[in-house]
Amino acid sequence: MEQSNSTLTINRLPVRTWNRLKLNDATVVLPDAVKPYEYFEELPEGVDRVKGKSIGPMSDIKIATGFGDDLDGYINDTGVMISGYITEDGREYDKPLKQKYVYADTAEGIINALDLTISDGSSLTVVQEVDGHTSQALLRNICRIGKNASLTLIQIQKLTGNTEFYNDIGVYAEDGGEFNLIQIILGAGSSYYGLKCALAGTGSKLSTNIAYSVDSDRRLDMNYVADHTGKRTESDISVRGVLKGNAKKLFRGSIDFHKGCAGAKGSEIENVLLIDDTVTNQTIPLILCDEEDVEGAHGATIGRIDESLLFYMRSRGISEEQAYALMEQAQIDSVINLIEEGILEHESIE
Amino acid sequence: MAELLNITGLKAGIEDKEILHGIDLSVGEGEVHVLMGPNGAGKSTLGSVIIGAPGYEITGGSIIYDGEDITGEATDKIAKKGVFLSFQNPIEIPGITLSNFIKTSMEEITGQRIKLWDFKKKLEAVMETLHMDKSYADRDLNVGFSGGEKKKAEILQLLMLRPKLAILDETDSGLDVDAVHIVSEGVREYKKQVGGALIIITHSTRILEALDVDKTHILADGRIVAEGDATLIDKVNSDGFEQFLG
Ligand SMILES: Nc1ncnc2c1ncn2[C@@H]1O[C@H](COP(=O)(O)OP(=O)(O)OP(=O)(O)O)[C@@H](O)[C@H]1O
Ligand SMILES: [Mg+2]
Repeated sequence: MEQSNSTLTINRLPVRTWNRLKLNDATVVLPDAVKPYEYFEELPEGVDRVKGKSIGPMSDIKIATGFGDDLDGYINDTGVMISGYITEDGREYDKPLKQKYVYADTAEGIINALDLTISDGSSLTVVQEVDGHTSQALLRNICRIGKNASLTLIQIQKLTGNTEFYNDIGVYAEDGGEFNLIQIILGAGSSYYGLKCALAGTGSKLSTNIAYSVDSDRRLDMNYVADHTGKRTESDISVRGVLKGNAKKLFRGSIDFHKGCAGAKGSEIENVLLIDDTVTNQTIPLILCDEEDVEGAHGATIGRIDESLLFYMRSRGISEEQAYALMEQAQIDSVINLIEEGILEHESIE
Repeated sequence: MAELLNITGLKAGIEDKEILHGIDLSVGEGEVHVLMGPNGAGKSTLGSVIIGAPGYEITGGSIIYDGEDITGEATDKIAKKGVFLSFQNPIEIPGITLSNFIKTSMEEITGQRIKLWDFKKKLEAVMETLHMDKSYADRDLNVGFSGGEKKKAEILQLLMLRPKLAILDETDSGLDVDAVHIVSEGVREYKKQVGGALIIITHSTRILEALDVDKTHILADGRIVAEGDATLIDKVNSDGFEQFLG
C-alpha cells in the first residue's frame, strides 16, 4: 500500500531576506498516518489533565509556533488528539510535570501535541525527555501563560540512529508572564526545532538557554522568534553548541519588535565550538524593528580549540582526544548546569 | 644523586631559525636549579622543548629523563611521566572549572579515579596555603584571573600534580611582594612534600628565598655561558649578564 505524505514548509524566517542562500525556511515531508506516542508521566497533584482540548480562559487565543501555519494545518488534518493541561490559579508547584518519551520504531509517524495553560499567578516546571529511535516523531507544545505566571520548559533530546525529530513550540504570554526554555539537543539524524513566543502582555519575558551537539552527518535546523508586542517586554535567546564531522546546523534567531512595544529589550547570542573544518555552521540573526523605543542586540562567537590551548592541556597530562571531549562537554554542561538539582535523574544526561 | 634529566647537545628552533645552539644540562633527583639569562636568550624555549611543545623542531642532541629518551615525545606523555611546566603565560580554559581541570589532570597522570570528596578536601587545603579564595575552584580556569592569580593557579597545580621534575618559567614575575612570598612558600612546600627536582627560570631572586639552590646556569643567545652554585646568582644581581657575554 502506498503511504501518503504531506510536504510542508516550516521554520520560516519572519521576513525572507536570504533568498539566494535558500535559508529562509525548510521543506519537510511528514506522513499522514500518525498517532500519539504513549509516554511516561509524573503529574504533580493539582495540575489538571484534559484529553482532546485546551482548557481555561485562554483557550481561544490563536497561538503561532516556530514551525508556522503549515504545521498547524497538518496537525489539524491528522486529527491527532491534543493533551490539555492546566494549573490552579496562584499556585506555585514545587514538583515538576515530567514526561518521558522513549520511542521504539512504529509503523506510523508519531505526534504528541500538548496544550499547557499556566493560570494567572501560578508557576510550573515541565520536563520532557525524548529518547530511543524511530523514523519520524513530532512533539508540539502550545503554552498559554497567564498574568504573572511562569513556565519553565526543560527539553532533553537524546534520540539515536537516524530518527527525524520535530520539536515545535508556540507561546503566548500575558502581563508579567514568563517563559523560560532550556533545551539540550544531543541526538537524532535530523532535528528541526521551532519556537515562537508572543510577548503580548506588558512586561512579559522570554528566556532561552539552548545547547546542541551535532556530529557526523547529522543536521539541525532551528527557528526561534521572539515576537514583542507588549510594552517593556524582554527576550533573551542564548544558544551554545558543538559542531563536529560533517554536521550541518542552521540557526535562525529573530527578535521582532512590533509597533507599540515601547521599552522592549531583546538580545540573542550564539556561541559555537567548531571541532572540524568540515562542518557547516550557518547563523541568521535578525532584528526587526517597527518601534523606536527598543533595545536589540545580537552576537555570535565562534570557538576553536587552538594549539596553545591544546598544548597547555597536554602539558597537564590530558591527551588531545580528551581535551576535545572536555571542551565539548563543557559547552553542553554550561546549559545542563542551569537545570536545578534533583529535577533530572542523573543518568539521563550523562 | 641519581640523574633525573640529562640534556646533551640540544639544538632546537622554529622553522629555519635555530634558537638553542647545543645545550648541555643535567639535573639530579630532588635538585634545585636556577636558569637565568637576558630576555630572548631561549629560556622559555628550553622549557617548551623539554616538554615537547608543538612548533619547535629539534635538530640535534637528546633529552633523557628518568633513563628514557623523551626527545620529541608527545607533551601529554611527557607530563604523565612526571614533568611539569609552569607557563610564563598560563592559558585561559573557558568552560572548564579550575577544580574540574585539576581533577581530570590528576586522574590522567595517575591513571586512577579520584573520589570527589577526597579531592575537594585536598584542593581546598592547598588553596588555603596559597591564600586563594575557595570560590576560585568553581571558576573557569584562568578566565578573568589576574596575572598573579594565574601564577598561583600554576603553583596550585604543581602541588596537586606532584611531578618529579618541575620547570617554573618566571612564575614570580608580575607578582606583588606578598604573592611572591606565598608562591615561594608553595614551591618550598612542593620540595618538602614531593621532593621533586626544580628548574626555576627567573629574573629575580625573591622566589628563591625559601629554597636551597644547588646549581645556577646562565643562558645567553641559546648557549649555556656560565654555571656555578648559588653564589652565581649574586654575581648576576650585582654585575648583570654583561660579564658572561663574549
Ligand atoms: N614561536 C616562536 N616564534 C618566533 N620566535 C620565537 C618563538 N619562540 C621563541 N622565539 C624567539 O626565540 C628567542 C628566545 O625566546 P624565549 O622566549 O625562549 O626567550 P626567554 O629567554 O624566555 O626570554 P624572556 O626572558 O624574555 O622570557 C627569542 O628571540 C624569540 O623571539
Ligand atoms: Mg621566557
